[in-house]
Amino acid sequence: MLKAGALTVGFALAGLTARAGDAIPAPRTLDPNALDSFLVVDGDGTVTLFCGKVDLGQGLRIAMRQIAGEELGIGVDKIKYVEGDTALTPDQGRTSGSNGIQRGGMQIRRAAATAREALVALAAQRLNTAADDLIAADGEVRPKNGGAGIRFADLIGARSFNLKLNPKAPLKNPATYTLVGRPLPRPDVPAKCTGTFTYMQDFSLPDMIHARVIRPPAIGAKLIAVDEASIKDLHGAKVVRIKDFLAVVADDEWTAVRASRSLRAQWSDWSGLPEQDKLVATLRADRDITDEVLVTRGQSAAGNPPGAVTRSASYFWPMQSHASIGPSCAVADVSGDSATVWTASQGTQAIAKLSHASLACPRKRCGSSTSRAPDVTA
Amino acid sequence: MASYRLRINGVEHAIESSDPDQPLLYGLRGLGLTAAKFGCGLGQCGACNVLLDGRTTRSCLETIASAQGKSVVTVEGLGSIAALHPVQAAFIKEQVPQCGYCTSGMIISAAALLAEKSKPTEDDIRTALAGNLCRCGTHVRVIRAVMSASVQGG
Repeated sequence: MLKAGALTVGFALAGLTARAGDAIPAPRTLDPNALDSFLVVDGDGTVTLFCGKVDLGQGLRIAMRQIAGEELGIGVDKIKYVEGDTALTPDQGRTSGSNGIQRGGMQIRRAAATAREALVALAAQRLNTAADDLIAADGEVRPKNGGAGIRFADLIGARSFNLKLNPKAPLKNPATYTLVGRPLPRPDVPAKCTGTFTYMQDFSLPDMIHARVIRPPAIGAKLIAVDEASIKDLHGAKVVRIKDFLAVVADDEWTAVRASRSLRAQWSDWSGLPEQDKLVATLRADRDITDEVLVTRGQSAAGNPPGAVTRSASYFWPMQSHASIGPSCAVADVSGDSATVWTASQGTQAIAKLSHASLACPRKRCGSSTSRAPDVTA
Repeated sequence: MASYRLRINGVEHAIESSDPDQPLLYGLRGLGLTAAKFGCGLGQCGACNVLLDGRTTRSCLETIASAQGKSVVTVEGLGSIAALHPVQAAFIKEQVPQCGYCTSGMIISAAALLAEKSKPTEDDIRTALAGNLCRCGTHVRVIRAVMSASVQGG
């Protein structure tokens, strides 16, 4: 059971398990151009990486650690990781289209390189040694030619970096990589194989109620009437109706499911979709469908040679949904003037904005977190 | 409210429900055994698989009343981090899961197969797991893991 509150987030990595209630250092800022949004050097020999992109099963939890660890000079087992929580992580945009590493990873890389540059500069002063003669590795900065180094934590202490990400911060030579390029195990895999990984659908809060949304029979159907008496025998089940939005709530999940099946509601007729049997013809007749030439090869300016054969074929595949196998699921903890929403989302920042609009909740107080269970969207 | 006694992962439990047709899946998850997942609720995807008296069973379709008196094994009962079932160990070694939502169901089906046939062919595995859907595309790794577990004597 997770304690209520957006700041209590659990995570585990082999060799570095956070106990429930472990404090996560709050980032000093959420500005995506600021180093302090991405990286905090902790006093215990670890660093915390704050990442706005979310791991859906594609492995960002280890990949981002590899990227950061490589540039910064620290092992992946010494990197704590916070992802997706809008109260704790910078807005790196939506996670989709393979942009996690492409864009998000490059921001992380730049942050780590900026941090290394700053830590090396601090060490250069303290050790009275030229920065070029120093190396950042194993969580410390030390002379390349040997001799004692200084741990990151002893260089920066409790201070913020107060730096913008430096696009010119020197990047590590790939020929010297020790982390990036290696197939390291993903930290969530063991829990997923032993049934102990908490998905959104497994997450609950004390005294939580359950709900099921009742979908209209057609896209444009309007809700005309709801017969609340049709679920009166289901103890504790209640109807939620907001214009055309219809749902049931109950204290236990199965009752909510039963209520959603039993509730009688009357919807208006709407049949604006093409007939299924005529779908192919309808799409072909669409004026927005254009012809596209993919390959032209060996055709002379004079047109096809005599005896050329024309072949044609027609292919069609049905509509498919780009959806996850896990059903959509969210938990919202709404109090007077604030709300925390947990959901398996590829875009927690957008969800926070949506929550703000839906709940008429002040923007600053509407947090959105996926840190527990982002994997269900795939 | 009636009470339904069943043996889950070797331990006697009494699950209370006002509905004898409540799916076993909700009863298990209500006890905190959340490895079995709701994927479709129609017995089509396999995410809810458990072993009921040793046989792979859709817990989303099995009612609590009909499960009464029987023995249920869930993924939590197959093994844990401290003592992994060979199928679990192979799934971890092969880094099978992506989102992982189908993984519990896959592991149950694979464990049931290996209990019945210790050295399955790839075709045997494909047949046994035909009812386990995966939207991430982990199928090749699943097969590799089950083959690996069978070689290890799973």
